[in-house]
Amino acid sequence: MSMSACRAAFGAAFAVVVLSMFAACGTSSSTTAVDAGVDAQDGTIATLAECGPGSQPETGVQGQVPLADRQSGRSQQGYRCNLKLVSQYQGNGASVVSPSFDTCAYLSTSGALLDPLQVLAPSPGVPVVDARDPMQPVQTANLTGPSMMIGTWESLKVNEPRKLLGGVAVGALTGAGFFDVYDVSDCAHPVHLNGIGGTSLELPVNLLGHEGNWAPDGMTYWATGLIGGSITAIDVADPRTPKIVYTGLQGFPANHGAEFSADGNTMYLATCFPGGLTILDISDVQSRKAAPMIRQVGSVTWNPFSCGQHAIPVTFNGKPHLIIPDEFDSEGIHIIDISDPSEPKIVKQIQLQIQLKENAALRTADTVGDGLFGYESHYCTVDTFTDPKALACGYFQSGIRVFDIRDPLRPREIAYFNPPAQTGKGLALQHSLHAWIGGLLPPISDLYTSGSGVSAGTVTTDARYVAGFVGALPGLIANAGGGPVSGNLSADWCSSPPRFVGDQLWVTCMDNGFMVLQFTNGVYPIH
Amino acid sequence: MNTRRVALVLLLLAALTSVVVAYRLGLRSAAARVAATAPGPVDIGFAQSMRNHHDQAIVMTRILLDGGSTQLAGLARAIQTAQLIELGEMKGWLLLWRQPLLPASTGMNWMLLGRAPPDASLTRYLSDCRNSPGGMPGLATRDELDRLRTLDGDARDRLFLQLMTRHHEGGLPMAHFAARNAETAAVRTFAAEVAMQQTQEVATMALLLQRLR
Repeated sequence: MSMSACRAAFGAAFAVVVLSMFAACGTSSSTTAVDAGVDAQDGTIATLAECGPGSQPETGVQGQVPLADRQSGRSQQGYRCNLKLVSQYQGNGASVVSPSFDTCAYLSTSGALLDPLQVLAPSPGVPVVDARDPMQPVQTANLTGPSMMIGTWESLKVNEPRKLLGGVAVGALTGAGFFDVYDVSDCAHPVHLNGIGGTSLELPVNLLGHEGNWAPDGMTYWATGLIGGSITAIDVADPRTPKIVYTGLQGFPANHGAEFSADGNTMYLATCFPGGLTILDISDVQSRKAAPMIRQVGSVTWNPFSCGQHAIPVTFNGKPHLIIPDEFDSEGIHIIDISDPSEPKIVKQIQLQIQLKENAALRTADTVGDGLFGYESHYCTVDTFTDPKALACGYFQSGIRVFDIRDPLRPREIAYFNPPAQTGKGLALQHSLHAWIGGLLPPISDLYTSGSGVSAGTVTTDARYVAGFVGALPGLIANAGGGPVSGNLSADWCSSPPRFVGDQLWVTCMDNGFMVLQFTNGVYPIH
Repeated sequence: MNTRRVALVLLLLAALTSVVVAYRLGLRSAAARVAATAPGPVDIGFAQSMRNHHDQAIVMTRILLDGGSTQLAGLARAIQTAQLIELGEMKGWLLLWRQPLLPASTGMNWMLLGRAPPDASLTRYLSDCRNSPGGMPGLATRDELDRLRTLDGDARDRLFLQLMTRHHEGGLPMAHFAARNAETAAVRTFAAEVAMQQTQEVATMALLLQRLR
């Protein structure tokens, strides 16, 4: 059996297992959330972008890849507005979060958990791509620490001050957790610092996810998990011998992305089910107290069925805020005023038109054959943390979207780039979570569409997704997307944080890999 | 109005009155039931602080069970299971009460809100809390947890027993206090059970420690 046939057979079998697992996840819910409400003074839609010369605008509503385009092949040309593709390194695709640092990008992999045959590939693990020449990015190395091989999900992050790359993962068979640290002083040739076996962790920090991030000073790496709400702090003062300094099952409904205040004393922890934010005092860990404890400063939730992704701390006119994309239930992005951190206040929600309640039927029809995640936001970046002018976000099936947020209450979209669908190329993209298993699974991110923005107060799922998926399944299994593991691949999944590099955006999407995008028509920099 | 009609009106009035009275009594009874399950500051403070305390016991059992050789696997699993179940109970209460899952400060002021003013032993315990790393007596420091990670065999078992004994002893006054002073019967019963179970475990660990010396 050839490698690809072997992969296909394994994938089909594995898909059945994972499918049932995710289906179970989709019915979980919490009914204890307090709905914080939204100040919808101008509605939730940002002013639409005005697409200048050279654009190839969307054909449906904002953020949509219409079913007709998916069926006709139009989605394979992509959609662009005031952003153009300069260059690309596709490789074998990438997984959920792939960071970019200096002139390089690190393309995370869905990993050996989903595709054990990846370990036999000629260049296994995480490819390092150098875009020193932005016109021609090239692979310069591959990272093979245990976490890199297993798959780092949303934990592969760079600490810029110390030039360290870190990620965590948990082996399916061993149950052991691993943490790998690389010196990326020479970004194109990272050096594995903590030995061939990584650092073993006793907690399931990353089982079924999930997240990790560096404290701003790079002395601590924090890993959070969905299972039991685990939080682990790893001392990386000496990156050759990382040590756990705090670990606990602090069980917020489900912990997700962690971001920090500049002094590292406060954690802004996005939470799932309900989607929301918890602000934690982590100064005991930051200051390395003998028996560190963490404390809860404040919290806010907005939807029992959604999932806050991460919370970017920024200031607008000196007032501290958080920008929080949500990866479920078409919630889009929330902007939170944390002037009083004990009472975080939602001041703005930004949705794409396709995420509106009245477009629920369109969403279902468009995305039902393209896997777990629909038109959801995921990871965002600002151009600067003090009075940011621009916010760039990766949306799973809506591509890269850029907003002018100088007035955060009246955001304006200025550009977007939804890359060409890689329909039919699934088997060549085995590092892409989307092309490998994720695209075949039934939708889970948008099952409660009637609840967008308010508590749905019910666990009734959107039957259209269920019926649509069941109807589409025979076609998907019959190789519609280029492999029985891929779904129809009718739109890419863009879930990594874009990075502002001059008048360019550098970003990785799962199927298209690393891309250098150029702003056009003078929309950025914003003056 | 004839006599029969008057009797009928009176009968209707009586029926209406009894319905209203029964309704009001029912409401009062329901309110009483709600009051019986409404938490006070002791219930909330105990659940938040004991969650933190339990969390470290679970971490210690994980360290012991996740690698190396040990003679204490049975004990560690028993402690881990009990504390995980109890941690889940406390988390469930806090969610139902719509209270933060963690305390906002390291202070143990909720233990000043009992039915009687603090006696000498409680005053001493609160003083110990203020002077202890982590704000509670008995917590292992990160250096001690690191030693537990690096040792193996009898030496590790001995350290585990010492740390867990100290951990349990540090939490017992909290449980005793909540067993007497919590508002809700469920919390009082739970705290009494925790105190009894951990006292038994402390005794067991003392015996095991003697055998390992």
